[in-house]
Amino acid sequence: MIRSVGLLIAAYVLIVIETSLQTETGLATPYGSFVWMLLPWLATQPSRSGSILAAGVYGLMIDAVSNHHPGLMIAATILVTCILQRIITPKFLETGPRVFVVSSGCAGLMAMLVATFSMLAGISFTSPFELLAGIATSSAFAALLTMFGVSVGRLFQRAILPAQSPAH
Amino acid sequence: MTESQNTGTFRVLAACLLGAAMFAVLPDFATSPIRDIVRLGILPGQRLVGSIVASAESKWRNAIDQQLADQQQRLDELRTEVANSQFRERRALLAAESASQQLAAVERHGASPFAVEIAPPMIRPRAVRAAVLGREILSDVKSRRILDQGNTDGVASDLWVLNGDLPIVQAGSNLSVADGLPVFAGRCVVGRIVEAGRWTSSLQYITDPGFRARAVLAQVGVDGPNAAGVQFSFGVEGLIEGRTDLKQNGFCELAQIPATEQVDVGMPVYSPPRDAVDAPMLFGHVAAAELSPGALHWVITVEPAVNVNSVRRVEIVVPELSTDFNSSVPNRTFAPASAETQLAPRGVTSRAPTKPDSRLSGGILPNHRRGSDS
Repeated sequence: MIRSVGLLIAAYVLIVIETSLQTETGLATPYGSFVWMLLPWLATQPSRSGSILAAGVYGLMIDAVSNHHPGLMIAATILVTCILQRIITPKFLETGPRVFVVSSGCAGLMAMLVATFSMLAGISFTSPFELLAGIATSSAFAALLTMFGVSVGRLFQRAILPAQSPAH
Repeated sequence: MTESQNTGTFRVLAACLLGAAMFAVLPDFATSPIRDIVRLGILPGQRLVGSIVASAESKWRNAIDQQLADQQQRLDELRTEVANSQFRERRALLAAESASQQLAAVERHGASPFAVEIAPPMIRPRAVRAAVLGREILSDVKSRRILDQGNTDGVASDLWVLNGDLPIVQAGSNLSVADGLPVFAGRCVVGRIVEAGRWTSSLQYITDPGFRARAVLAQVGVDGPNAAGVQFSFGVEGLIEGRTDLKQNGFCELAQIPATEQVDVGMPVYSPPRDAVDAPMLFGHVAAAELSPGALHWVITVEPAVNVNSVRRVEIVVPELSTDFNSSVPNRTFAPASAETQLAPRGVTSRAPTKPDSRLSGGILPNHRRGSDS
């Protein structure tokens, strides 16, 4: 429960940061790619139905801040969370490089689904490659940030909490 | 995972996807309230992040500005230091050149067989600061209210100088002020003393008719990026004089400048170097210059550097004989006949007015220069 609330707060913060960066620097894409990085963590939650529901809320938040076809991001986040639930386990998120790989894979999956849904919904693009390039740039940036965040978090955890030897 | 859990997960998944599909299918007026609520929820966070970013940017800019200001200040200090170093270097070069010339002269003519002692300057200019009397005081004096009081104490009216409409300065022969002495305001020439009384003197401004003095046009050249590198080059000597038609506009005229000279509006007009005083003093700047076809000389109108109507305090440069001149030369081989014989021709304390320079007809040259010039 605490983890779910923490992830929700993190999603809110990431959405806010992304929309601010979007207006300030143009680095982030209006697809909520920063929040995509939370989907692997959401997928490893014990309660699968709760994760799917939370993914729907994330999608709704992304959908609200991005002026795309309504429901597109909701469906994409739900489906990706569902897919990740079948693929990854909490062990995939233990180290920074693993988190980077999983986050990148999640971002790729989301990008494919967003592009597919956009084409199915008839949203006109200037170029699909431009869309994918934008998403890839933003996702890579977010994945790197996530990797560094996880690495620093693990270091702090090791420094603060004493190493516990396995019980004999 | 049990089958019931899978079923529950599947139901939630199906419900969420159905919600997404409905969100996509429903018209905007049905979905926009939900999206607006989410946007309103995100808005405070966006404002917070925006204010944090703005504050950080402001602090960053301030830090950068401060750093730039510090660097600029350091740069200015270095420039000043470089300018001072260049100035010292120039002085050292001049001193070296002078020493080299002296050495060359010694090599050419041979060294003096006598022991050489450097005598201190016999004449030292001294500035007497005096106030220009206002019109009210002058009217009191002219109405003899002050003079009548002075009569009871043995003050005669001829001890005051009330020469027509000329302004009066509060310094006279009691302060060694004599006729023809130049009058300055800072480094600017204001005029000259035309008649020195006991306590007051009549002042003739440079714009007054009858004022005449030698002057040169100066060409300002900048040597280097700073003010310390400003150099002056002086041109041909002319004659600056006050004229009645120019006085009402506060101007005077610079004459006798040959047509071959380059004259530009704004050029400064100085007294010739080492003339009235050692340093060239500023008369004013060229306000207009005309050269008629076939004319041999320019007709130059000069705007005085000092507004003579607003001058309240002036300095009168009085040449003063060094009183310890005799005592400062310990092994003198001759002695002047008497101190009075030296004082009388220079007349710095003499009441009797000296004759003005014949060439300048009342120029600003001090008395001790006039004798040598003529």
